[in-house]
Amino acid sequence: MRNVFLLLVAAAFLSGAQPLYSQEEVGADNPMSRLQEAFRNAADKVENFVVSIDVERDASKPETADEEAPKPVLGREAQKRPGKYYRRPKGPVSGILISADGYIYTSWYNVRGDNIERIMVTLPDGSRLKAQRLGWDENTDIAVLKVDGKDMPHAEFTATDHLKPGHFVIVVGRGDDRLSLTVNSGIVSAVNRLEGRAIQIDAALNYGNTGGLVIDIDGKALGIACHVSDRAVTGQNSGVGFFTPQSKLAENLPLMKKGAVIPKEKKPFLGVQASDGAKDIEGAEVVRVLPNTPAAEAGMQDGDIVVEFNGSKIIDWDSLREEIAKTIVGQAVKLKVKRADKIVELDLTMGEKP
Amino acid sequence: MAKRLLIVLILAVILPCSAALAQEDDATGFARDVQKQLADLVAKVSPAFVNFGGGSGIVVSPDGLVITNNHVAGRSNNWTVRMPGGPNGKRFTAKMLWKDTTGDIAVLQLETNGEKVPYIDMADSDKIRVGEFAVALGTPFMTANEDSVPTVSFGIVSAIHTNRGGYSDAIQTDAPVNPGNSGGPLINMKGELLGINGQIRVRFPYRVNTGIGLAIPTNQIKRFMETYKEVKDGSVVYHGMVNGLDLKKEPACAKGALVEKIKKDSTAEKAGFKVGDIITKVNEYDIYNYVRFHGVVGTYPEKSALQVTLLRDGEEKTLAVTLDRRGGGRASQVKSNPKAAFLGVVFSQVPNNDGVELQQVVPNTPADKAGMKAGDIITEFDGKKIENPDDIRKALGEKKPGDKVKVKVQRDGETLELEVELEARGNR
Amino acid sequence: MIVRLSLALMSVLVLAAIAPSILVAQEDGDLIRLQEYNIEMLNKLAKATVAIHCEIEGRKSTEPRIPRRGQMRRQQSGGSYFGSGVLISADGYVLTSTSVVPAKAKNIKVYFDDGTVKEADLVGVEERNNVALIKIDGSGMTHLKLGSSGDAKTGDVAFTLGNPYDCIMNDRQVAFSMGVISGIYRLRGDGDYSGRVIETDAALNSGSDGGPLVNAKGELIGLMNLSYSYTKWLNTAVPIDQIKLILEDIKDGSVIYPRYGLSIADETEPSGGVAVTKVSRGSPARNGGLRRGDIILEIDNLRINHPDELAEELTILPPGSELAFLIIRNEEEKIIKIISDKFVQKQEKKEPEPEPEPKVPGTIGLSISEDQGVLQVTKLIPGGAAEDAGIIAEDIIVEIDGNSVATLDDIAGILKDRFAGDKLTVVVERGGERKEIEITLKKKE
Repeated sequence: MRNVFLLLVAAAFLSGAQPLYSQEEVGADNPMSRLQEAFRNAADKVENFVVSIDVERDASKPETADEEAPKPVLGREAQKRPGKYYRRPKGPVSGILISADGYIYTSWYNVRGDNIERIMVTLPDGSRLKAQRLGWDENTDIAVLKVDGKDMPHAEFTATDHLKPGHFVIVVGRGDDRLSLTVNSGIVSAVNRLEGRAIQIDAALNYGNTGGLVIDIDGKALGIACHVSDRAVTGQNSGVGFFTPQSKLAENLPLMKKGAVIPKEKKPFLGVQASDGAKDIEGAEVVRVLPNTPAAEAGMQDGDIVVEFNGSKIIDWDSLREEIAKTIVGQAVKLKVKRADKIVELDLTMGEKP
Repeated sequence: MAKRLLIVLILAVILPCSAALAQEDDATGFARDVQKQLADLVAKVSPAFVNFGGGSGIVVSPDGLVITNNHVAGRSNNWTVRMPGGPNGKRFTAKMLWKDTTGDIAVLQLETNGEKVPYIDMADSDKIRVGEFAVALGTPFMTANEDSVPTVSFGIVSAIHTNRGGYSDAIQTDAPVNPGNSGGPLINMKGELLGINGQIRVRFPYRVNTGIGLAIPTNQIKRFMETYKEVKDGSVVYHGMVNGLDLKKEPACAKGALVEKIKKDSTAEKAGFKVGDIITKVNEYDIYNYVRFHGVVGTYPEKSALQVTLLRDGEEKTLAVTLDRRGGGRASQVKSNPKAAFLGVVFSQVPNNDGVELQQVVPNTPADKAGMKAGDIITEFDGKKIENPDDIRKALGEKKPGDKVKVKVQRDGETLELEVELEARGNR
Repeated sequence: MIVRLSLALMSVLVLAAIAPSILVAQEDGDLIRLQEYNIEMLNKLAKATVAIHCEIEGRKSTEPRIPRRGQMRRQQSGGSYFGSGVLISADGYVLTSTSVVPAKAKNIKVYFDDGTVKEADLVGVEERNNVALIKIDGSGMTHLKLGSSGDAKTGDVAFTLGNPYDCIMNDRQVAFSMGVISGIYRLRGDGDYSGRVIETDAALNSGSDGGPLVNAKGELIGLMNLSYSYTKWLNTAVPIDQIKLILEDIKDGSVIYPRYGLSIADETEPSGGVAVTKVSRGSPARNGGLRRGDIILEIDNLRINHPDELAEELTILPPGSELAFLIIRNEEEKIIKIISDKFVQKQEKKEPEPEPEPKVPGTIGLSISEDQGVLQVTKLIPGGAAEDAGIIAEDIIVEIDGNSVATLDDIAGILKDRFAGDKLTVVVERGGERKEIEITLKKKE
């Protein structure tokens, strides 16, 4: 009898050890709440490293001296009123403290330009400091700022070798009011993008959180969200986003701290949308000529098939790409295209890849 | 002895409880588990991805059958595609077997020289539950162009059996899909293909995803694959419709689709439909309104034999119908005059003679510049009522390049008036 | 013997208890568990999400073709507007947005995803929260529990359910999306709603407005809205706590105003800002720490250049909003947080004088930004004189009644002597062209 009683007691204890996923009363133990708790925990770990940055610009001066810069490819409506959509929106952006004495990473797009009058950083506690823009890397879209600081909480980055497509990432930034935290989540979309310069994620990236911190589910700092601009075809919150990972940040940090500028590698650019791989077509088929590009200015049209470029015969897009790579920005080239059974000769000046 | 029993009892209590506690409290551990399983799934399916350059595709059999969108691959019957493997990806030649220009599907065969290629199975899309997780593989904005390793995005199945944008029975997902994802797979947590991503809805001036992606379901694709399994020469295949059957346009109809008009001597009349019938089922699918009727029928190839259940005078009846061909195809055939006025769309007949629906708007054409979008239904062209593709062809034929034409379209329930400036076709 | 048996049995029990956990962890992993929960929860909540169609009395939509900055276009279907709504009680109260059911709506119909259609009566609207309450007949209906938006945190999982592209009516589907709460902040855009929002990256598309924002436990924490932040372009919801505050008052048919308990000066201080002339005892302003004599420089980071601006800021915020005032007191800057209260006016009274508003004779109904001599319209008050006259956001105001204007003071100087009903001839620059527009001033409400 006593043994039966003990067995019953044991059984009672043991049954209490089942995992709790109650279907009736939805308490805080449901799987979604647990996932959310993991997100909250991760973001909490890095909250204090995230700052808000106000970049005050002189609106009467142009942002860059180069007025010939290629315009972005936008939708139809935007092309009707380009001023409205090319314009950088007003409002603060995000940045990350990376040292106790006040070095800050943000995206280069945020602090790009010759018309910046003042950069003010708002710390998580509300205090405001003036920041100096030091150097930047136009290829990884990262810039370094400096505020006067001491013992500041700061991010320490982790290598990203453990990341795989499908892993959660969280992007942390500061909101329009400079104090509230913004959090966007997603997964790693691909680990090797932009010629090794970036890791791709599907979290929503926009003007507000560019320059923000990308962390993994454990709250480890992986890199800086960037490559968002009014000129990026990826637009805002499209789910195609990039961040510069720790390895790329570390590479050029010493130089950027000293104020060095690592300019964009100037790659020659035509300005067309290719039709790769369609084999029934002899030559390189141009599906679409992008507006305001060297191709457009040379008079190329949608549907043209490039058959000769800079003196070389073109049989497909691979050969055209090879020939383009041999040119340099600014070079004048002649090319031949097939258009409605006629061969048309065009004169083109190679542009710069945006 | 009693002591030993006590020790065992204590252990029996502590061990399971601590196991359970460890499981409950560690939310991060839970999330890590979830993400590991997701990453494993992604690693399993990614090798079956096919990169078409401007679009995506997926391999569905070990001998290399590839599915993609017609608007990605339709314009050439031979392709060089790439799959992940090596720094620049692995190249394959692919040959077009057949293309469904109305349903926006193209099926190709990889030339694998007898080698097996990675592939994924096709799920039963009628068993999809809304709220399921899904991943999309693709090359949005040409991101996979360097090594053909696909871009992965994650979301849920937002809705199923939606009739929108020219896709009659679409799966809607909030997994981010963008230009370049077209033709690529939407995959469930078992690693099976749910559908082919082909369209997005945008709401800002940028052509980027805003949370609605539409995919063509596998069951529709499977029907066509079965019917056309002997077609290997790249021909266009056709969808089915019931000619002469006019349904009342009442989306809120609770009982079924009401037959409003039957054309004399039509397929509908010969099959036995009568005015006043309320269609409640097509094969195993429930029909709740005319939108769904066209949605279901739109998943079958021409000549398919369907069982239609309806209510007549309170009694249930079943009719057998064999589908007619649903007219479709490009606005003008390949032999057209390059100097003729040209719009730049691929359209198909809207059932019910209701107009002409745009399957596709070719970029940088007069239609594109005027603001037309896939899914629009043209109801009026240059003041003339448009009921079917012939009406448009005739109306266009009377115009010249440079003419400005007012066009009325229906979009998401709204009527818009657009002005199109016609251009010469050129070699498009 | 019995002991050994018991020991054996005990071991079996222990194994039996642990085994399922191990087995389950390998078979139906956490990913699938998460998914199953998601499916079950969302499909239950779909029963409480509805499509709403209605007609607007009088004129057709005046929404510009290209959406205003900060506001998405509301959706029409052949003359009737449509959007989403959510059931909040078993007997049929449905919450939605005023972008779906505005105050002048009629012929309101509610559609469920099983094909049921019900006619609805408009119970009331509360414009500041952009919220409308309608009622259908019913009992025992599945409805959402009202959660607490105050407990919501950035990073929390969030779901939207709704009727984009009228899918509930056309496809008998409620559309779901999953995301996170990406931000909780004060939205100041050009849309119809200005106030605190819960922002999310879960999907919102044409027709999703008025639908629910739901937390991980399936509770309603916000109502989806068409306004968005122009730096982030993400989707926003009006927090449910603000709606809870005034829900019963809407049912009564009362008119509701935000109450602060302060009065302000008619003119800007010489060194900038607007002075507080009175702080009522026991009022939200007093409780927050505001005092007579304080000079208000900023509200929620917006610099105040004129009493009109301050009055407008105070007017447009819903009751229960938290505001941060930057003030100067004794030459020192201070931040004061106030949570406004509500002032409820029962229907009997006519034209009530809302407590905190200073009197301004005639009003144009717009916000203007001043930037180096350029006066640009940033926002139009819905139903205001400027909107009626055809002024649109981003118009640059160049001349009023023949007078060149370059600063806000110039405009204030002209408006000072104008009263409701007066006509103004305004010249604006739009898209590089000049246009002359006549505006009839309205009475400030």
